[in-house]
Amino acid sequence: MTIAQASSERSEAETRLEVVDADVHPIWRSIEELREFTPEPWRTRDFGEFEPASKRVVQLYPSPHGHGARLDSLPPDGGPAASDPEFTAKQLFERAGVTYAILIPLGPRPQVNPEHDLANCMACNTWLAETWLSKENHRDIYRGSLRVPTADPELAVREIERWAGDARFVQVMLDPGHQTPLGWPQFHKVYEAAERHGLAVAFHPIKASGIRFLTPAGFPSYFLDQHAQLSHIVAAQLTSLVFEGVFDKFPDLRVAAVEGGFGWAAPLIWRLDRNWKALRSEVPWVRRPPSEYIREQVRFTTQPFEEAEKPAHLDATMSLVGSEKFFLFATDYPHWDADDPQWIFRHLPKQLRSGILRDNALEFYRLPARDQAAVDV
Amino acid sequence: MSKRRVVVAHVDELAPGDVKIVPEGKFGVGVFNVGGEYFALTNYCPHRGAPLCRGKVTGMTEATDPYECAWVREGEILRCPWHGWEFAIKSGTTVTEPKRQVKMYPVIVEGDTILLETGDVR
Repeated sequence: MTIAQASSERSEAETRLEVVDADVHPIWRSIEELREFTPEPWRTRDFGEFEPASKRVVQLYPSPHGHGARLDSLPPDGGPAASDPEFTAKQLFERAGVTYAILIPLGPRPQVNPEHDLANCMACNTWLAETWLSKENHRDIYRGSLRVPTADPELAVREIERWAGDARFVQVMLDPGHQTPLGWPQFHKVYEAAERHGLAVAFHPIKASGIRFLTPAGFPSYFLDQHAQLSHIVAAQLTSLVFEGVFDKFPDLRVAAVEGGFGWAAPLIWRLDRNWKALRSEVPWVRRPPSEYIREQVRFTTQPFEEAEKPAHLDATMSLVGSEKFFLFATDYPHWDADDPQWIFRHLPKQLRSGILRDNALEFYRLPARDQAAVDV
Repeated sequence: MSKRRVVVAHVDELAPGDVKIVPEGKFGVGVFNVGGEYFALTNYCPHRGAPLCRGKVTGMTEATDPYECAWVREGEILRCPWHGWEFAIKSGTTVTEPKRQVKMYPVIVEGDTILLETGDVR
């Protein structure tokens, strides 16, 4: 590519880039916003006169930078990063025309008590519906993810049913670090409910107090160590879903693997197919090659975008998965390791660009295409 | 052909540890005061294009052995506001990939005025 080509491509992109962003993390301006949405007895317990609930969240593996957000994402009027829907929209639009942003709130950290977890999830879902997904959704770009207690499928289904038919929510988020394989039969009712209500399921890592981020080798020492290994947990959960027969049992189930990277996706698919061909007799309910289920029912987000040593290697990695619909663009805004849409655009294989940036997500999340002019700032 | 000069600030406005971003060029230029010396870096991270000069001025860790962690070069390191890459303000080079360098400009002090020298005047 000549320099002239590169610069004309860039200016074209900057004016015309349209994306669906599959991973944006909104947060409340203050946790007090959740008080009215939190059911008792948890309202009294968490918002009592003593220690506020927000102070009791102790995350394992804090970042060495001392903050989790891009420093330039702090709203000018104060509050945490991505607590202001308008400023968030402005910052997203600064770099791309965002036709939709899929919100994945990480505010409620998984609790060991599933009833407490449910109360926090309920409060978060109502809060999101009342704010970013309605009165503060001025451009109608935001769509939501339901938070549910991953540890307790009964309670998770109860919360999914509470929002049945509400088109503001497009998926259910599960915690892949939940320490049990999520293909196990007790979780099938969650997939059944999601499928029945037309909701996708997103596996998105979430840090919590207590024992989390188990790697196949145990618990790592460093933030860097666990962060680099997010891939493993996603690979393990997808493998579990395949071999426990989840994709076969729920053919309309759609799963988004969010923030686990993607450079490993094609080799995982090969490996699952190879082993299935030889050992299939152990899991006869897996009737088709694992690759078929994964290509049809799973999508990977592009963030954190792999940084290959040569661009050609990245192109190969993305084409090796064998599906043009496999990837969904995501920024992970406002997090420190967010991907910038303009940079990603320039690093995507040409023939995959419009699919990854927009069309794959429109199809996966069943969102209507829209006229860009209607949502521009 | 002479260099173009842009007024950055009065010396009293840019104390050690401070930065001022001047709207020069496509991305702006950050002028830093590191212990009384001035350095000017393009406000563009060579990694992913972040507004680099809005990052934190800090120090860095250094180790001679595993688990022997020293904190060095306080005030000389600029950490990118996005992905956290560390840059030496005095040289514009990154800590992990010294070959990747931020474009730098000369800074001149005339009397009490800090001046940035950018491209040639045409």
